[in-house]
Amino acid sequence: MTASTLVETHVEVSDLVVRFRRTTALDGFDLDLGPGVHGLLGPNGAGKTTLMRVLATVAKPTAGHVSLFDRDLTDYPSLRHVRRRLGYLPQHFGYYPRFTMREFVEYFAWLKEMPAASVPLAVERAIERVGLSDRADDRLRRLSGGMVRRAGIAQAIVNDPDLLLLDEPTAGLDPEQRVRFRGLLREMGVDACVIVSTHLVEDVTAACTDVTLVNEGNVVFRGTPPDLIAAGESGGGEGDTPIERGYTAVLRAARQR
Amino acid sequence: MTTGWRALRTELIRGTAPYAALVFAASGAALLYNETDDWAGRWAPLAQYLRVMLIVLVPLAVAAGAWQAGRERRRRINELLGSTPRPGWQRVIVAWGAVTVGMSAGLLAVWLSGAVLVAPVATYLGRDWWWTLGVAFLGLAAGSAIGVAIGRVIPGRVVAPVAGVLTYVVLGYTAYDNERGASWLAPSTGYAGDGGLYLPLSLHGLQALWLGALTATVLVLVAARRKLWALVPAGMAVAAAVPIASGPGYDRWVSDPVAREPVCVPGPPEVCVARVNEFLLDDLAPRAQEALARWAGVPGGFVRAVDSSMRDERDGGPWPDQTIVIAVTQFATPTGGLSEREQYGGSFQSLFASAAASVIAQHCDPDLESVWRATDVVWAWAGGDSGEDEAAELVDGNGNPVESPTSPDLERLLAMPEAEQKAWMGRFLAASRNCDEAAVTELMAELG
Repeated sequence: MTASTLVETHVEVSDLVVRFRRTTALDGFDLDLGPGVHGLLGPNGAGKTTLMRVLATVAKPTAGHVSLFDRDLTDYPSLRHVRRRLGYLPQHFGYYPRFTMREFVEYFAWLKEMPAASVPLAVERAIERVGLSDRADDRLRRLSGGMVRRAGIAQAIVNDPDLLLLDEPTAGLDPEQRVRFRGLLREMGVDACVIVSTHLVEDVTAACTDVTLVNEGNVVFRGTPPDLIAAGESGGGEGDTPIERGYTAVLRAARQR
Repeated sequence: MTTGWRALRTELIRGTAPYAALVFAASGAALLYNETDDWAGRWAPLAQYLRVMLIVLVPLAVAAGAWQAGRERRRRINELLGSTPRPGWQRVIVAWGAVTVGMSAGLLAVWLSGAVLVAPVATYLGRDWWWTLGVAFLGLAAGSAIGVAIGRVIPGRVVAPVAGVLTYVVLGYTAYDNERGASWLAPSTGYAGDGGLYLPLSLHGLQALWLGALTATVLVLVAARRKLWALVPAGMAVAAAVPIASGPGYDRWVSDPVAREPVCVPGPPEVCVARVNEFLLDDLAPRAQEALARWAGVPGGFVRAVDSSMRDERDGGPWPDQTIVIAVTQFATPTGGLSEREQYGGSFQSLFASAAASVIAQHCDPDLESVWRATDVVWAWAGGDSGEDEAAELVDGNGNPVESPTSPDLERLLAMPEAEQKAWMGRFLAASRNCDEAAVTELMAELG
């Protein structure tokens, strides 16, 4: 964690437009985020993954402005600087099945240009934080789907990122692991900006300091989880839990506009 | 160990590298031990034969490189890699380096297995063959770099095998068309020297520069952010390629006079081999002298057997009269001994008989039937046999093996007293050396 974290804005997005041929994934998107755990909710195709890909510097905006750690992503040195401080778990997490868990995380520590001396300890710590120390020397192909997902989280956090982007991180995790994972998110969110894109609204309630609801490429709600719950109570949404009712109520209102 | 070395180590043990090492060791061994007479007991031909093997191994290198490079796409990990700060060229270098080290280890193991057999028996160290060997590894590196480039640019699982097959076609053509200087742009050669040839240091230097610069150009083009940097190695590659392509083809091979020096067992009959084949002389001498004994008492008969490697075939000119010339290495075993038969089943005795019978062909171009009949008679009289394969086919109606039939001409010759047989042979040799076809016809008429 760098000292500048305390004063800089982690994520600053304004009027962001991303188009893929004729499809507009994000259309004038605005977002400012600092430290904390930020939930990103929305239906399929809302633009969550596109936003995550832009923030992970793997997709280029069609228009608008994106700044990470007060740096524009327009020149290579800035891009490289930002990437050193990133952790990213994509929705479709690819991996090398013949690598062991330790080798895989270590490989990404190298890719993230971590100082060589800090790598062994950082790798051990990342693996321990996802609860896989006893499987560290197993090849990834021998791990279950949930364990592979945790390996993906381990590579994302190995560099203690200032911006951690997790796209559907809890897919495939059992309930006990999800509880443990939420604890990890809260721990990371004390200093870092953690953005969690998910369909599991209860994860947002339990772990996030605030929530952004996206629909058709635009922000339709920003607030805390209690705010979203309140929107459900006043808007008459459907669902089994208060936050589900808030989610459906906000979406329904957005569609009726 | 730095993280970079650890990444390379991980790629070496978990990537394509270990498979490449195994495939190269297995296929290399299969190729090397299929033609042991081409290199047995000799350092330079061993290295040169590895360059011949590259006709197969470089296509494998291209395929391995393409497969390794396509891994990121197959594993759908491109997006994750794209979010990391380390420059892409470093990742490519590690992946290419690992697969190249794996292939090189496989090829080195093959060479070492050959070297273990050559070392105890070799009688001549040779010259500059270590450069021949070194350039082989640069050829593999260039092949895998080209493969990496192809694998990164073109998606699909069939890209690797298709790239390998296309490379094989190109290298096969350059090996076949080795009269052109451009054929030396390929790391493979179509010909392994006979031990009396070597490639000059100037060619090795140019090839090393060409292959190294080609490798660098390809890697910069596919991995560097600033492609213009590729102009530097590309310029070096062109600077090396021009003198290679504009130079001679086969005539790049240089004769090594020390390797061709005769080493003899004095006679009569005298038996000589080139210094590079001296390891065969102890086994060769008694067998050659036994074969030559058949010609004792024949006027103008053979009194000497020599190894064809004693002379560069490009020097031309007839060998001295009464000399049988044999390519002795075709009977060399991998451990440096002399086998009973060469790889196509021909016996040592037959080789001698053939060399003797072909004396007429060395002096003129006979097309008379009587001349060919005479050649057959001389060959059989001198001890020629039909070889294991042909003899095995001679069976009676019940499938039982039968003796090879003797020609009527030979029967009539053998019916003569020994002295008359030898006199007949003497007249045949004299007629052959004078290219006197009429005299040969007359000799055959004597046999009916």
